[in-house]
Amino acid sequence: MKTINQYKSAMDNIKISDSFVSRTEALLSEQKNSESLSGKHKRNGLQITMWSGIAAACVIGALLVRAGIIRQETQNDITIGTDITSSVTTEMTAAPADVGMQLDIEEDDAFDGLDINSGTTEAMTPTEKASDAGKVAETTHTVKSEGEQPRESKANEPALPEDAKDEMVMAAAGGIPESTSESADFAASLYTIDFSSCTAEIESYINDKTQSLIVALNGDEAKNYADMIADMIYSTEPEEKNPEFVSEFVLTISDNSTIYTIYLTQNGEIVVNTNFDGEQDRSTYVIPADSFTDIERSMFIKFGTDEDYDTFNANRG
Amino acid sequence: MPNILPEAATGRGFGTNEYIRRVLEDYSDEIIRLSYTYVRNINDAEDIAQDVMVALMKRDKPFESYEHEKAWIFRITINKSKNYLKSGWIKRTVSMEDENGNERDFPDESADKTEENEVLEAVLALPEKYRTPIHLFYYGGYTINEIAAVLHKKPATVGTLLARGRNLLKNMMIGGFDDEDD
Repeated sequence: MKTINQYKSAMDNIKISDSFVSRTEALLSEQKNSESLSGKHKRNGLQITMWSGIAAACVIGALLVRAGIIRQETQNDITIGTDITSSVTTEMTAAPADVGMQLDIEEDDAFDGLDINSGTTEAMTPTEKASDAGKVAETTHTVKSEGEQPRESKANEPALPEDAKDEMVMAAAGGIPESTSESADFAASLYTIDFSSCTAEIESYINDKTQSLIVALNGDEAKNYADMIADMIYSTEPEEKNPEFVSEFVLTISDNSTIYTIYLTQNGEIVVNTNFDGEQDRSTYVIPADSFTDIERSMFIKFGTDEDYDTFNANRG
Repeated sequence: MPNILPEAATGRGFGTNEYIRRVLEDYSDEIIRLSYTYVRNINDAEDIAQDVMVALMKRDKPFESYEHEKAWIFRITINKSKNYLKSGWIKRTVSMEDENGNERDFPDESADKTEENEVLEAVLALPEKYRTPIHLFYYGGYTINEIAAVLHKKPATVGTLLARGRNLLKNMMIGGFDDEDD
Protein backbone atom coordinates (compact mmCIF):
# COMPACT_ATOMS: atom_id res chain seq x y z
CA MET A 1 0.00 0.00 0.00
CA LYS A 2 1.42 3.38 -0.98
CA THR A 3 1.24 6.21 1.51
CA ILE A 4 1.53 9.94 1.23
CA ASN A 5 4.55 9.78 3.55
CA GLN A 6 6.47 8.04 0.79
CA TYR A 7 6.39 11.36 -0.98
CA LYS A 8 8.68 12.84 1.66
CA SER A 9 11.23 10.08 1.37
CA ALA A 10 11.09 10.16 -2.41
CA MET A 11 11.67 13.90 -2.32
CA ASP A 12 14.56 13.46 0.10
CA ASN A 13 16.11 10.97 -2.28
CA ILE A 14 16.54 13.67 -4.92
CA LYS A 15 20.16 14.66 -4.53
CA ILE A 16 21.09 18.28 -4.26
CA SER A 17 24.55 19.31 -5.29
CA ASP A 18 26.93 19.19 -2.30
CA SER A 19 28.51 22.41 -3.40
CA PHE A 20 25.25 24.33 -3.63
CA VAL A 21 25.76 26.33 -0.43
CA SER A 22 29.37 27.22 -1.17
CA ARG A 23 28.56 28.11 -4.80
CA THR A 24 25.69 30.30 -3.68
CA GLU A 25 27.80 32.04 -1.05
CA ALA A 26 30.41 32.78 -3.69
CA LEU A 27 27.75 34.07 -6.06
CA LEU A 28 26.26 36.31 -3.40
CA SER A 29 29.59 37.81 -2.42
CA GLU A 30 30.30 38.49 -6.10
CA GLN A 31 26.91 40.15 -6.40
CA LYS A 32 27.58 42.24 -3.31
CA ASN A 33 30.88 43.44 -4.72
CA SER A 34 29.38 44.36 -8.06
CA GLU A 35 26.46 46.05 -6.29
CA SER A 36 28.80 48.20 -4.25
CA LEU A 37 30.69 49.15 -7.42
CA SER A 38 27.50 49.97 -9.29
CA GLY A 39 26.34 51.86 -6.18
CA LYS A 40 29.28 54.22 -6.61
CA HIS A 41 28.42 54.65 -10.28
CA LYS A 42 24.80 55.25 -9.32
CA ARG A 43 25.79 57.92 -6.81
CA ASN A 44 27.88 59.64 -9.50
CA GLY A 45 24.98 59.31 -11.92
CA LEU A 46 22.60 60.76 -9.34
CA GLN A 47 24.86 63.76 -8.79
CA ILE A 48 25.00 64.39 -12.53
CA THR A 49 21.22 64.00 -12.79
CA MET A 50 20.69 66.35 -9.87
CA TRP A 51 22.91 69.07 -11.33
CA SER A 52 21.35 68.61 -14.78
CA GLY A 53 17.91 68.93 -13.18
CA ILE A 54 18.88 72.13 -11.39
CA ALA A 55 20.32 73.56 -14.61
CA ALA A 56 17.19 72.61 -16.56
CA ALA A 57 14.97 74.15 -13.87
CA CYS A 58 16.98 77.40 -14.08
CA VAL A 59 16.60 77.51 -17.87
CA ILE A 60 12.86 76.83 -17.66
CA GLY A 61 12.48 79.42 -14.91
CA ALA A 62 14.33 81.99 -17.00
CA LEU A 63 12.17 81.20 -20.04
CA LEU A 64 8.98 81.48 -17.96
CA VAL A 65 10.04 84.83 -16.52
CA ARG A 66 10.97 86.01 -20.00
CA ALA A 67 7.65 84.80 -21.40
CA GLY A 68 5.84 86.67 -18.61
CA ILE A 69 7.78 89.88 -19.27
CA ILE A 70 7.15 89.68 -23.02
CA ARG A 71 3.47 89.08 -22.49
CA GLN A 72 3.16 92.01 -20.11
CA GLU A 73 4.95 94.17 -22.62
CA THR A 74 2.64 92.92 -25.39
CA GLN A 75 -0.46 93.57 -23.30
CA ASN A 76 0.79 97.08 -22.54
CA ASP A 77 1.44 97.64 -26.24
CA ILE A 78 -2.07 96.49 -27.13
CA THR A 79 -3.70 98.68 -24.49
CA ILE A 80 -1.76 101.61 -25.80
CA GLY A 81 -2.55 100.56 -29.34
CA THR A 82 -6.32 100.39 -28.83
CA ASP A 83 -6.46 103.58 -26.85
CA ILE A 84 -4.01 105.67 -28.77
CA THR A 85 -2.71 104.15 -31.99
CA SER A 86 -5.55 103.16 -34.30
CA SER A 87 -3.26 101.42 -36.83
CA VAL A 88 -2.28 98.70 -34.32
CA THR A 89 -5.94 97.93 -33.56
CA THR A 90 -6.69 97.62 -37.24
CA GLU A 91 -3.85 95.17 -37.74
CA MET A 92 -5.13 92.95 -34.99
CA THR A 93 -8.61 92.78 -36.72
CA ALA A 94 -10.43 92.19 -33.44
CA ALA A 95 -11.85 94.02 -30.50
CA PRO A 96 -9.22 94.90 -27.91
CA ALA A 97 -10.51 92.44 -25.33
CA ASP A 98 -10.51 89.56 -27.83
CA VAL A 99 -7.04 90.35 -28.98
CA GLY A 100 -5.89 90.43 -25.40
CA MET A 101 -7.49 87.03 -24.85
CA GLN A 102 -5.95 85.44 -27.87
CA LEU A 103 -2.51 86.59 -26.93
CA ASP A 104 -3.13 85.32 -23.45
CA ILE A 105 -4.04 81.90 -24.77
CA GLU A 106 -0.99 81.74 -26.95
CA GLU A 107 1.11 82.49 -23.92
CA ASP A 108 -0.68 79.68 -22.10
CA ASP A 109 0.25 77.34 -24.89
CA ALA A 110 3.83 78.42 -24.65
CA PHE A 111 3.66 77.77 -20.93
CA ASP A 112 2.06 74.36 -21.40
CA GLY A 113 4.53 73.51 -24.11
CA LEU A 114 7.42 74.20 -21.82
CA ASP A 115 5.75 72.22 -19.13
CA ILE A 116 4.99 69.18 -21.17
CA ASN A 117 8.15 69.11 -23.15
CA SER A 118 10.19 69.32 -20.00
CA GLY A 119 9.62 65.65 -19.40
CA THR A 120 6.04 64.79 -18.54
CA THR A 121 4.90 63.70 -22.00
CA GLU A 122 6.28 60.21 -21.53
CA ALA A 123 4.19 59.72 -18.45
CA MET A 124 0.97 60.78 -20.16
CA THR A 125 -1.66 58.21 -20.94
CA PRO A 126 -2.83 57.65 -24.51
CA THR A 127 -6.08 59.39 -23.58
CA GLU A 128 -4.15 62.34 -22.28
CA LYS A 129 -2.08 62.41 -25.43
CA ALA A 130 -5.17 62.26 -27.60
CA SER A 131 -6.92 64.95 -25.64
CA ASP A 132 -3.74 66.99 -25.59
CA ALA A 133 -4.03 67.41 -29.37
CA GLY A 134 -7.32 69.23 -28.95
CA LYS A 135 -6.12 71.25 -26.02
CA VAL A 136 -5.68 74.59 -27.77
CA ALA A 137 -9.19 74.66 -29.13
CA GLU A 138 -10.62 73.47 -25.82
CA THR A 139 -8.70 76.06 -23.88
CA THR A 140 -9.74 78.83 -26.23
CA HIS A 141 -13.35 77.85 -25.87
CA THR A 142 -13.19 77.64 -22.10
CA VAL A 143 -11.52 80.97 -21.66
CA LYS A 144 -13.85 82.79 -24.04
CA SER A 145 -16.89 81.43 -22.27
CA GLU A 146 -15.64 82.86 -18.99
CA GLY A 147 -16.83 86.32 -19.85
CA GLU A 148 -13.78 87.07 -21.98
CA GLN A 149 -11.75 88.45 -19.11
CA PRO A 150 -8.00 88.29 -19.58
CA ARG A 151 -6.30 86.17 -16.94
CA GLU A 152 -3.54 87.46 -14.73
CA SER A 153 -0.04 87.07 -15.96
CA LYS A 154 1.46 83.63 -15.30
CA ALA A 155 4.67 85.32 -14.30
CA ASN A 156 2.92 86.59 -11.18
CA GLU A 157 1.63 83.17 -10.18
CA PRO A 158 3.51 81.07 -7.64
CA ALA A 159 5.42 78.13 -9.09
CA LEU A 160 3.37 74.94 -9.23
CA PRO A 161 4.72 71.46 -8.61
CA GLU A 162 5.06 69.38 -11.78
CA ASP A 163 2.16 67.10 -10.85
CA ALA A 164 -0.18 69.96 -10.20
CA LYS A 165 0.80 71.49 -13.53
CA ASP A 166 0.06 68.22 -15.27
CA GLU A 167 -3.31 68.03 -13.58
CA MET A 168 -3.98 71.61 -14.65
CA VAL A 169 -3.06 70.83 -18.24
CA MET A 170 -5.28 67.75 -18.21
CA ALA A 171 -8.17 69.66 -16.66
CA ALA A 172 -7.76 72.35 -19.31
CA ALA A 173 -7.82 69.66 -21.96
CA GLY A 174 -11.10 68.48 -20.47
CA GLY A 175 -10.09 64.87 -20.95
CA ILE A 176 -9.18 63.33 -17.63
CA PRO A 177 -11.49 63.38 -14.67
CA GLU A 178 -10.02 63.41 -11.19
CA SER A 179 -8.50 60.08 -10.34
CA THR A 180 -8.37 58.19 -7.08
CA SER A 181 -4.85 57.64 -5.86
CA GLU A 182 -5.25 53.86 -5.57
CA SER A 183 -6.58 53.37 -9.07
CA ALA A 184 -3.99 55.82 -10.37
CA ASP A 185 -1.29 53.71 -8.69
CA PHE A 186 -2.58 50.57 -10.34
CA ALA A 187 -2.90 52.30 -13.69
CA ALA A 188 0.59 53.75 -13.32
CA SER A 189 1.99 50.31 -12.64
CA LEU A 190 0.41 49.04 -15.86
CA TYR A 191 2.08 51.83 -17.80
CA THR A 192 5.48 50.92 -16.42
CA ILE A 193 5.53 47.28 -17.47
CA ASP A 194 8.68 46.39 -19.35
CA PHE A 195 6.94 45.26 -22.52
CA SER A 196 10.20 44.58 -24.33
CA SER A 197 10.91 41.59 -22.13
CA CYS A 198 7.48 40.58 -20.94
CA THR A 199 5.55 37.42 -21.59
CA ALA A 200 1.84 37.81 -22.10
CA GLU A 201 -1.17 35.71 -22.91
CA ILE A 202 -4.93 35.85 -22.93
CA GLU A 203 -6.99 32.94 -21.72
CA SER A 204 -10.59 32.74 -22.85
CA TYR A 205 -13.26 31.01 -20.81
CA ILE A 206 -16.08 32.21 -23.03
CA ASN A 207 -17.01 28.92 -24.67
CA ASP A 208 -16.07 26.44 -22.01
CA LYS A 209 -16.03 27.27 -18.32
CA THR A 210 -13.78 24.38 -17.41
CA GLN A 211 -11.23 24.56 -20.19
CA SER A 212 -9.53 27.63 -21.48
CA LEU A 213 -8.13 28.64 -24.83
CA ILE A 214 -4.85 30.51 -24.70
CA VAL A 215 -3.36 32.98 -27.14
CA ALA A 216 0.16 34.34 -26.61
CA LEU A 217 0.68 38.06 -27.14
CA ASN A 218 3.73 39.98 -28.28
CA GLY A 219 4.97 43.05 -26.41
CA ASP A 220 3.05 45.55 -28.56
CA GLU A 221 -0.21 43.67 -28.25
CA ALA A 222 0.27 43.36 -24.50
CA LYS A 223 1.00 47.09 -24.29
CA ASN A 224 -2.20 47.92 -26.19
CA TYR A 225 -4.28 45.90 -23.76
CA ALA A 226 -2.46 47.20 -20.70
CA ASP A 227 -2.82 50.83 -21.86
CA MET A 228 -6.49 50.32 -22.64
CA ILE A 229 -7.15 48.86 -19.21
CA ALA A 230 -5.00 51.45 -17.45
CA ASP A 231 -6.99 54.23 -19.16
CA MET A 232 -10.22 52.65 -17.99
CA ILE A 233 -9.25 52.15 -14.37
CA TYR A 234 -7.33 55.43 -14.03
CA SER A 235 -10.40 57.38 -13.07
CA THR A 236 -12.44 54.57 -11.55
CA GLU A 237 -12.80 54.15 -7.82
CA PRO A 238 -11.97 50.53 -6.92
CA GLU A 239 -14.67 48.55 -5.13
CA GLU A 240 -14.31 48.32 -1.37
CA LYS A 241 -14.26 44.53 -1.48
CA ASN A 242 -13.08 42.08 -4.07
CA PRO A 243 -16.15 39.92 -4.67
CA GLU A 244 -15.97 36.43 -6.16
CA PHE A 245 -16.29 36.37 -9.90
CA VAL A 246 -16.44 34.18 -12.97
CA SER A 247 -13.83 35.06 -15.61
CA GLU A 248 -14.50 35.54 -19.27
CA PHE A 249 -10.92 36.42 -20.13
CA VAL A 250 -7.71 36.37 -18.16
CA LEU A 251 -4.85 38.53 -19.39
CA THR A 252 -1.51 37.64 -17.81
CA ILE A 253 1.53 39.85 -18.31
CA SER A 254 4.80 39.06 -16.56
CA ASP A 255 7.83 41.25 -16.72
CA ASN A 256 11.04 40.78 -14.79
CA SER A 257 9.58 41.93 -11.51
CA THR A 258 5.82 41.61 -11.52
CA ILE A 259 3.05 39.32 -12.64
CA TYR A 260 -0.11 41.16 -13.64
CA THR A 261 -3.24 39.06 -13.90
CA ILE A 262 -6.21 40.99 -15.25
CA TYR A 263 -9.62 39.36 -15.25
CA LEU A 264 -12.63 40.42 -17.28
CA THR A 265 -15.54 39.04 -15.35
CA GLN A 266 -19.04 38.00 -16.34
CA ASN A 267 -20.37 40.87 -14.23
CA GLY A 268 -18.60 43.48 -16.34
CA GLU A 269 -15.80 44.12 -13.84
CA ILE A 270 -12.10 44.37 -14.39
CA VAL A 271 -10.07 42.75 -11.63
CA VAL A 272 -6.40 43.65 -11.54
CA ASN A 273 -4.10 41.44 -9.54
CA THR A 274 -0.43 42.32 -9.17
CA ASN A 275 2.15 40.03 -7.73
CA PHE A 276 5.38 41.81 -6.97
CA ASP A 277 8.12 39.96 -5.14
CA GLY A 278 5.61 37.82 -3.33
CA GLU A 279 3.43 40.78 -2.34
CA GLN A 280 0.02 40.44 -3.89
CA ASP A 281 -2.51 43.19 -4.40
CA ARG A 282 -5.92 43.05 -5.99
CA SER A 283 -8.51 45.63 -6.96
CA THR A 284 -11.90 45.29 -8.59
CA TYR A 285 -13.24 48.01 -10.87
CA VAL A 286 -16.76 48.31 -12.18
CA ILE A 287 -16.36 50.22 -15.40
CA PRO A 288 -18.94 51.70 -17.77
CA ALA A 289 -20.66 49.11 -19.97
CA ASP A 290 -19.46 50.60 -23.25
CA SER A 291 -15.83 50.64 -22.09
CA PHE A 292 -16.18 47.06 -20.93
CA THR A 293 -17.65 46.09 -24.31
CA ASP A 294 -14.63 47.66 -26.04
CA ILE A 295 -12.07 45.67 -24.09
CA GLU A 296 -14.20 42.54 -24.18
CA ARG A 297 -14.54 42.76 -27.95
CA SER A 298 -10.82 43.39 -28.39
CA MET A 299 -10.03 40.23 -26.42
CA PHE A 300 -12.79 38.20 -28.02
CA ILE A 301 -11.50 38.78 -31.54
CA LYS A 302 -8.26 37.09 -30.53
CA PHE A 303 -10.32 33.89 -30.51
CA GLY A 304 -13.06 34.64 -33.02
CA THR A 305 -14.41 37.22 -35.43
CA ASP A 306 -16.24 40.48 -34.88
CA GLU A 307 -19.42 38.77 -36.04
CA ASP A 308 -18.89 35.99 -33.51
CA TYR A 309 -18.62 38.63 -30.81
CA ASP A 310 -21.83 40.33 -31.93
CA THR A 311 -23.61 36.97 -31.82
CA PHE A 312 -22.14 36.22 -28.39
CA ASN A 313 -23.12 39.66 -27.14
CA ALA A 314 -26.65 39.35 -28.48
CA ASN A 315 -27.20 35.89 -27.04
CA ARG A 316 -26.00 36.37 -23.51
CA GLY A 317 -28.59 36.60 -20.84
CA MET B 1 9.81 25.56 13.52
CA PRO B 2 11.50 28.02 15.86
CA ASN B 3 9.14 30.10 17.98
CA ILE B 4 11.62 32.83 18.77
CA LEU B 5 12.04 35.20 15.88
CA PRO B 6 15.59 35.21 14.62
CA GLU B 7 16.55 38.81 15.23
CA ALA B 8 18.16 39.22 11.87
CA ALA B 9 14.94 38.60 9.97
CA THR B 10 13.19 41.53 11.54
CA GLY B 11 15.76 44.19 12.17
CA ARG B 12 19.35 44.44 13.29
CA GLY B 13 21.60 42.20 11.27
CA PHE B 14 19.19 41.89 8.39
CA GLY B 15 21.02 41.54 5.10
CA THR B 16 24.41 40.81 6.70
CA ASN B 17 26.53 37.91 5.55
CA GLU B 18 25.61 36.02 8.72
CA TYR B 19 21.93 36.55 8.05
CA ILE B 20 22.19 35.34 4.46
CA ARG B 21 24.20 32.32 5.62
CA ARG B 22 21.55 31.47 8.20
CA VAL B 23 18.78 31.69 5.59
CA LEU B 24 20.84 29.66 3.15
CA GLU B 25 21.33 26.91 5.71
CA ASP B 26 17.74 27.01 6.95
CA TYR B 27 15.95 27.16 3.63
CA SER B 28 18.08 26.14 0.68
CA ASP B 29 16.92 22.50 0.70
CA GLU B 30 13.29 23.50 0.97
CA ILE B 31 13.58 26.18 -1.70
CA ILE B 32 15.23 23.76 -4.11
CA ARG B 33 12.68 21.04 -3.53
CA LEU B 34 9.74 23.41 -3.76
CA SER B 35 11.11 24.76 -7.02
CA TYR B 36 11.68 21.19 -8.20
CA THR B 37 7.94 20.53 -7.94
CA TYR B 38 7.54 23.17 -10.67
CA VAL B 39 10.57 22.80 -12.91
CA ARG B 40 11.17 19.04 -12.42
CA ASN B 41 14.87 19.41 -12.87
CA ILE B 42 17.25 19.65 -9.95
CA ASN B 43 19.82 21.81 -11.78
CA ASP B 44 17.19 24.34 -12.72
CA ALA B 45 15.75 24.21 -9.21
CA GLU B 46 19.21 25.03 -7.82
CA ASP B 47 19.55 27.96 -10.22
CA ILE B 48 16.18 29.28 -9.12
CA ALA B 49 17.17 28.87 -5.47
CA GLN B 50 20.22 31.02 -6.16
CA ASP B 51 17.97 33.66 -7.77
CA VAL B 52 15.82 33.62 -4.65
CA MET B 53 18.87 34.21 -2.47
CA VAL B 54 19.97 37.08 -4.70
CA ALA B 55 16.47 38.59 -4.41
CA LEU B 56 16.69 38.23 -0.63
CA MET B 57 20.11 39.88 -0.59
CA LYS B 58 18.73 42.81 -2.61
CA ARG B 59 15.77 43.26 -0.30
CA ASP B 60 16.39 46.37 1.77
CA LYS B 61 13.47 46.10 4.18
CA PRO B 62 13.56 43.68 7.12
CA PHE B 63 10.66 41.28 7.53
CA GLU B 64 7.84 41.86 9.96
CA SER B 65 8.35 38.46 11.49
CA TYR B 66 10.01 35.13 10.99
CA GLU B 67 6.75 33.85 9.51
CA HIS B 68 6.76 36.74 7.07
CA GLU B 69 10.32 35.91 6.06
CA LYS B 70 9.40 32.28 5.42
CA ALA B 71 6.23 33.12 3.48
CA TRP B 72 8.13 35.68 1.38
CA ILE B 73 10.92 33.26 0.53
CA PHE B 74 8.53 30.50 -0.56
CA ARG B 75 6.34 32.94 -2.46
CA ILE B 76 9.38 34.27 -4.34
CA THR B 77 10.44 30.69 -5.05
CA ILE B 78 7.04 29.92 -6.55
CA ASN B 79 7.00 33.12 -8.62
CA LYS B 80 10.50 32.60 -9.92
CA SER B 81 9.75 29.00 -10.78
CA LYS B 82 6.62 30.03 -12.70
CA ASN B 83 8.49 32.81 -14.47
CA TYR B 84 11.20 30.36 -15.39
CA LEU B 85 8.67 27.97 -16.91
CA LYS B 86 7.18 30.82 -18.91
CA SER B 87 10.52 32.27 -19.95
CA GLY B 88 11.32 29.85 -22.74
CA TRP B 89 14.81 29.47 -21.34
CA ILE B 90 14.14 26.00 -20.05
CA LYS B 91 17.27 24.01 -20.47
CA ARG B 92 16.93 21.08 -22.78
CA THR B 93 19.88 19.26 -21.32
CA VAL B 94 19.80 17.42 -18.04
CA SER B 95 22.94 16.82 -16.09
CA MET B 96 23.28 13.13 -15.33
CA GLU B 97 26.08 13.47 -12.82
CA ASP B 98 26.90 15.78 -9.98
CA GLU B 99 30.31 17.36 -9.54
CA ASN B 100 31.63 14.15 -7.96
CA GLY B 101 30.51 12.05 -10.85
CA ASN B 102 27.62 10.51 -8.95
CA GLU B 103 24.42 9.93 -10.81
CA ARG B 104 21.74 12.33 -9.63
CA ASP B 105 18.15 13.14 -10.19
CA PHE B 106 17.29 9.58 -11.11
CA PRO B 107 15.37 7.31 -8.81
CA ASP B 108 16.63 4.16 -7.20
CA GLU B 109 15.05 1.14 -8.84
CA SER B 110 14.58 -1.05 -5.74
CA ALA B 111 10.98 -2.16 -5.07
CA ASP B 112 10.44 0.25 -2.14
CA LYS B 113 11.99 3.09 -4.05
CA THR B 114 9.85 2.36 -7.07
CA GLU B 115 6.77 2.67 -4.92
CA GLU B 116 8.05 5.93 -3.44
CA ASN B 117 8.78 7.26 -6.86
CA GLU B 118 5.28 6.42 -8.01
CA VAL B 119 3.94 8.55 -5.18
CA LEU B 120 6.37 11.32 -6.10
CA GLU B 121 5.33 11.19 -9.74
CA ALA B 122 1.68 11.21 -8.76
CA VAL B 123 2.11 14.29 -6.57
CA LEU B 124 4.13 16.07 -9.24
CA ALA B 125 1.41 15.26 -11.76
CA LEU B 126 -1.24 17.07 -9.69
CA PRO B 127 -2.40 20.49 -10.85
CA GLU B 128 -0.36 23.25 -9.23
CA LYS B 129 -3.15 24.42 -6.95
CA TYR B 130 -3.20 21.02 -5.21
CA ARG B 131 0.45 20.12 -5.64
CA THR B 132 1.95 23.09 -3.82
CA PRO B 133 -0.19 22.79 -0.66
CA ILE B 134 0.45 19.03 -0.63
CA HIS B 135 4.19 19.57 -0.97
CA LEU B 136 4.35 22.23 1.73
CA PHE B 137 2.16 20.18 4.07
CA TYR B 138 3.66 16.73 3.62
CA TYR B 139 7.21 17.58 2.75
CA GLY B 140 7.73 20.91 4.49
CA GLY B 141 5.61 20.00 7.49
CA TYR B 142 3.96 23.41 7.48
CA THR B 143 0.63 24.10 9.08
CA ILE B 144 -2.42 25.06 7.08
CA ASN B 145 -2.11 28.63 8.39
CA GLU B 146 1.51 28.86 7.29
CA ILE B 147 0.65 27.52 3.84
CA ALA B 148 -2.21 29.99 3.62
CA ALA B 149 0.26 32.82 4.27
CA VAL B 150 2.56 31.58 1.49
CA LEU B 151 -0.21 31.10 -1.04
CA HIS B 152 -2.22 34.18 -0.07
CA LYS B 153 -5.28 32.03 0.45
CA LYS B 154 -7.63 31.54 3.34
CA PRO B 155 -6.76 28.61 5.66
CA ALA B 156 -10.13 27.02 4.86
CA THR B 157 -9.30 27.13 1.15
CA VAL B 158 -5.94 25.49 1.81
CA GLY B 159 -7.72 22.77 3.78
CA THR B 160 -10.06 22.16 0.87
CA LEU B 161 -7.19 22.06 -1.61
CA LEU B 162 -5.35 19.52 0.55
CA ALA B 163 -8.43 17.30 0.81
CA ARG B 164 -9.09 17.46 -2.92
CA GLY B 165 -5.44 16.85 -3.71
CA ARG B 166 -5.43 13.74 -1.52
CA ASN B 167 -8.59 12.47 -3.23
CA LEU B 168 -6.98 12.97 -6.60
CA LEU B 169 -3.94 11.03 -5.44
CA LYS B 170 -6.16 8.17 -4.30
CA ASN B 171 -7.75 8.02 -7.72
CA MET B 172 -4.38 8.10 -9.44
CA MET B 173 -2.82 5.32 -7.40
CA ILE B 174 -3.11 1.77 -8.65
CA GLY B 175 -2.71 -0.82 -5.91
CA GLY B 176 -4.13 1.27 -3.10
CA PHE B 177 -3.23 4.49 -1.38
CA ASP B 178 -3.44 5.42 2.24
CA ASP B 179 -3.54 9.12 3.09
CA GLU B 180 -2.64 8.28 6.65
CA ASP B 181 -2.12 11.87 7.65
CA ASP B 182 -5.74 12.66 6.92
